[in-house]
Amino acid sequence: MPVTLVSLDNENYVVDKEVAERSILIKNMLEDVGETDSPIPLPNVTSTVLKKVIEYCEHHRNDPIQVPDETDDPRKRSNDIEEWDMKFMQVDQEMLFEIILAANYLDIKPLLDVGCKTVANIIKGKTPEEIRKAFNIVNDFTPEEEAQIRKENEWAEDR
Amino acid sequence: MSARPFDIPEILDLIGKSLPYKDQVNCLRVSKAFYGVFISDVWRTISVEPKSRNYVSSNPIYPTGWALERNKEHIQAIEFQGDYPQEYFGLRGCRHLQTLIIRPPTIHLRIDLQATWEKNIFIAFANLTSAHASTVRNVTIDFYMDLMAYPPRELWIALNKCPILNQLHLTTLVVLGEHMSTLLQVCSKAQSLILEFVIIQDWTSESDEIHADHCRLRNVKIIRAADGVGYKGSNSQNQAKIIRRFHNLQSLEYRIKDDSLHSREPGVSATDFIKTLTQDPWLLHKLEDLNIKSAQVQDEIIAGFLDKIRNLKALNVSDTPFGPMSLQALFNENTSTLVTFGPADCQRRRKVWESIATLDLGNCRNVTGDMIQRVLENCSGLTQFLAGKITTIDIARGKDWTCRNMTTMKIYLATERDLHRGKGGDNSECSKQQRIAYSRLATLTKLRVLNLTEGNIPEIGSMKTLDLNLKAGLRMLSMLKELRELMFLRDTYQHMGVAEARWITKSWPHFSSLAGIANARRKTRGAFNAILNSKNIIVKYRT
Repeated sequence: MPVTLVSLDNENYVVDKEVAERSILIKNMLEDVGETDSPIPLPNVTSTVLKKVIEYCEHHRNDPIQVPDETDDPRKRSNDIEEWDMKFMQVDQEMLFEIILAANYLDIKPLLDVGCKTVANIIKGKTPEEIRKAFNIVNDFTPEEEAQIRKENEWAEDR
Repeated sequence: MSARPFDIPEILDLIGKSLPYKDQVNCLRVSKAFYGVFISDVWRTISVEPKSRNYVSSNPIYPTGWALERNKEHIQAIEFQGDYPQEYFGLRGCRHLQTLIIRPPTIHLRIDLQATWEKNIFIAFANLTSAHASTVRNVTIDFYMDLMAYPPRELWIALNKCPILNQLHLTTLVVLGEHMSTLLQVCSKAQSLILEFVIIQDWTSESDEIHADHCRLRNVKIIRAADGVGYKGSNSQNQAKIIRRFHNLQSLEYRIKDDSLHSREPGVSATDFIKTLTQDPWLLHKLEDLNIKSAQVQDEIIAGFLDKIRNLKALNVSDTPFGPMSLQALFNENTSTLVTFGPADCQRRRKVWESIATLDLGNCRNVTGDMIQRVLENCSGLTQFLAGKITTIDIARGKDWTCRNMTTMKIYLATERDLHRGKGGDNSECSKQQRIAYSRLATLTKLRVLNLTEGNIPEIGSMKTLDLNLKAGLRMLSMLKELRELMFLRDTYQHMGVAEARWITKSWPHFSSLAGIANARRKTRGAFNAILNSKNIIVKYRT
């Protein structure tokens, strides 16, 4: 059964229900309204981003649904990104951020995970100043505050 | 959307989980938003240890003083690994402290100093535990030194004050009989207990009771179960008597310390343990997960144990004399249980063997191919299975497999050509048997890991499994859509080529790893590997 998704800028996208339900938000909406042809408005997602999200969900439509594991040890998480996902994430930084926010809003955990791993890969090996520069982040510490944080955490620098 | 991912703490936290520790430390100084998220990652676990010879930095190796006082609220785990500063034992108010670990120093202490030092450290550790009793969930006391440690009463009293204790791990300790009553109370509060080389001394068990109704203990591991000359079986029996009291126990692992180091016969200690544990009345009705790997006890003893367990879900008897009697106990209709389905008056007997999901018969020399076939025919709930040699003849003689939920299977599936190598065996019969084996494998549509040459045969080339080519029957496995890994190490007779490589990449969408020599011809093997590598499938020649 097809489902129509409507973006912030009123673009309509018709997708299979199975694809749309990779988003837990949409899945819950569909369960609440029951059988209906009504389009589903997604006022937080622009058309360019929604197109990318749909592309991801189409490619991963047969993946098993991830079950959250309460005992998940972050140290055991794999940081590998599949080849297709890696190519999918080769976008400019603005689009990368929009995909992450959209995945968070739509509750598509695998896409959110891939987006966050992609950002993590950019952060790796950089100093604090290099990280700020990479993402255009304003340093809101005073020099004294930054020095104190460094002193308090100097023990961790060589671990 | 004008927000950025870094504005949402939950997303920043998720990014942090993919970062190595060093990068998390760097993130602290990026901005206040980053600091707010990453400070708890950086301070989560503190390892209190002396500087090693290779540590050249002038920075301290663990926090002290005002830095420790200011940030102690973020600490969730403290591991004492050779340094025992009084400042740490005097910590109070670590609101999120859940895990305490203590391990011995790396320097050797003289015997006369050791007792005093030990008692002081244990009491200080006990005080720290008491002060955080409301939050402490996991305690590890791993005091491996040249001599066994004798924790004082204060330690067990402190542990008994922890109402939400989850896991207790004790290593290389002697527990005095006079402290057993308190220790039993502690164990009954924990959900998980690990006793590694723990000796119970001078215990008269009759007077020590626990309240069975309040007993939360579900999982017990007894590793390097200490026994031998000097203890004369009493430690094995004592440990069994302790375990018998935990009526809600679900999971038990028992592994003896290497018997060959002692003068007692191999298997005597484990036999003592099992006999004491299983004597009447049987009390562990909730036991469903049993691991007695490497216990050198008789098949009859294992059978007697299995006969008691009504709802077995996981069994590891690898490297034991598990054999026909034990298998019979598994399939014994007399040990089936009444289970209610649907309306109250609708009941049926569920066979014990239907409940088993995980079964490890690795390196069980008494397990034959037809026994393995019997398991595959009957254990319909099996998801993970490890066993030894089964031939295509065994499979062809048997019935269809019922274990349709299998996700991991590691066996040595030997072909007839292996049995008649050099004797000119009948190839058409061999091919027919292979196709039957393929058809049985094809029903395991949830399979993720398949090892066809499991076992400890040292000579390379001495194993021969199914012909893994399309003509012989590989094509029949097209429905194994969940397959991730295929292994056939030590089989150098394969003739896989480009066609097989293309078929694999097309038929198995999640396939990621192949371990084995696809073809003895180097050029063909190279072409085969190249196709797999182009789809990010790893090819290995060893585990």
